[in-house]
Amino acid sequence: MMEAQEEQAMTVEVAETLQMINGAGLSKTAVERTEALLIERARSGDHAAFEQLMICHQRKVIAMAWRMLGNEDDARDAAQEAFIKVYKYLSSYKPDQDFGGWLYRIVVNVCHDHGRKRSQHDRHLSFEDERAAHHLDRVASNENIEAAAIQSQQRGLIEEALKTLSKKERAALVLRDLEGLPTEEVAQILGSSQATVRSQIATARAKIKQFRDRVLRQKTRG
Amino acid sequence: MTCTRMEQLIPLYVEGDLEADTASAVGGHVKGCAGCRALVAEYEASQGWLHSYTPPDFNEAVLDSVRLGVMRELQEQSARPSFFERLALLLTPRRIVAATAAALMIIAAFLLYNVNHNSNAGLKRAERAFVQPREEKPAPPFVIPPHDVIAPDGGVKQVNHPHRKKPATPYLADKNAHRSPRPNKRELHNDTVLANDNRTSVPDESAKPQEMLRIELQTADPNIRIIWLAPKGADSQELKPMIETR
Repeated sequence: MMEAQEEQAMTVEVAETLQMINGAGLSKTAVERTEALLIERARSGDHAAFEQLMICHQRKVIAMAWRMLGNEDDARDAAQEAFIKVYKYLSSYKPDQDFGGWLYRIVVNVCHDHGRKRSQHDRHLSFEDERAAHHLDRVASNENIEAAAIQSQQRGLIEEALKTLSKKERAALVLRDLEGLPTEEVAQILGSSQATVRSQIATARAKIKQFRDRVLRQKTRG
Repeated sequence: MTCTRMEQLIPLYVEGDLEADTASAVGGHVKGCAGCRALVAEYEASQGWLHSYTPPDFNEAVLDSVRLGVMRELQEQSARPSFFERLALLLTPRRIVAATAAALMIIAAFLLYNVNHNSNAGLKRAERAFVQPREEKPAPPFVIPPHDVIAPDGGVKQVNHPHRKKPATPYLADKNAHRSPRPNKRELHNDTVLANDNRTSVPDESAKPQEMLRIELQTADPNIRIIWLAPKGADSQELKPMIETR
């Protein structure tokens, strides 16, 4: 009884420390140490510690899933599935590994599986959908609404451009150009060599450029 | 560095993904080539366009729903018994005893079947060994009922007998019966010399065809058989045995 109470108190203390770190911008080492502590506790079955770990990474995971899949519903499902797998395979995580990279690998694999399962009719989030999903709650003025509409349209076009890529090309491009990870880390996450990743990225960028050129030519004619 | 090679390297050059020396070579070429310089500008614009692909601002409700969904699933999984726990629930003491008894019965039945099968096979082997007489033991004497006989005219006459116990003896099937008999390996004693050298294989053509009575007697020696042939109604003085040896 006493041990359970002590554990709960410690989890709360860790969570509070983590929130302070996130808010105060403390050193990376301190963040890593706290994260390692949470991981250790989650591995021993502490659900509260795992929830705190989720809070630290969930925004990044959902954003990554959204970039891989292109819509919010799929991104939410994929993020949920990814976290469940993280908990399941936490015992296989080695403390000397980078937790973020390990997490990314799981998200990429889940998104690949999700991409296979989802229906043919892929839709990007239109301006109306975004308004319905309350993403535009912060938008106040008409100018902002117009900007948001343009941004939504741009997003749709880029999503169409990303669909011209293969799964591996898209994963490499999203991790390198949109998540900003170095090529070495991208290669580790995808389980490929750096040369392969560079080749995939080069091909992907060329395809994006070709798509953009085609859209611009159509706009010029129209 | 040719412009064709530049087209392959520029996509990596614009984001700093080339090795230092390669990047330097590309930079030098680009400075002197208008076409490649334009290509670099196009790729930079394209990458800028790509970088504007930012996800929507997911509000707290979305994040909370994901987190709560995960925690709910984890709670359910921890409440769900594992495979071994489910197995332990299924295997009550009574079921274990019943399963063990059933397994023992099956094993016992299998062993019994094996034992029976082996013993039957052994019995059959023993029977065969018992039934087949050894060659060195002499066969008991028995009377062979008359079957195929050689008529005085040299023909073979078949006498139907319902209780034929032995197949036709070799000498009856001898196709060269009308010729002089084959020399026997054993010499005949004087007192057992055949009364009739012709035996049955040398017919008397002048003799009137008669029905013959044939009696065969197997002696204790399996190689010696005594055969009586006599016309029916003949005087006993005329009956003389014929001894055949092999």
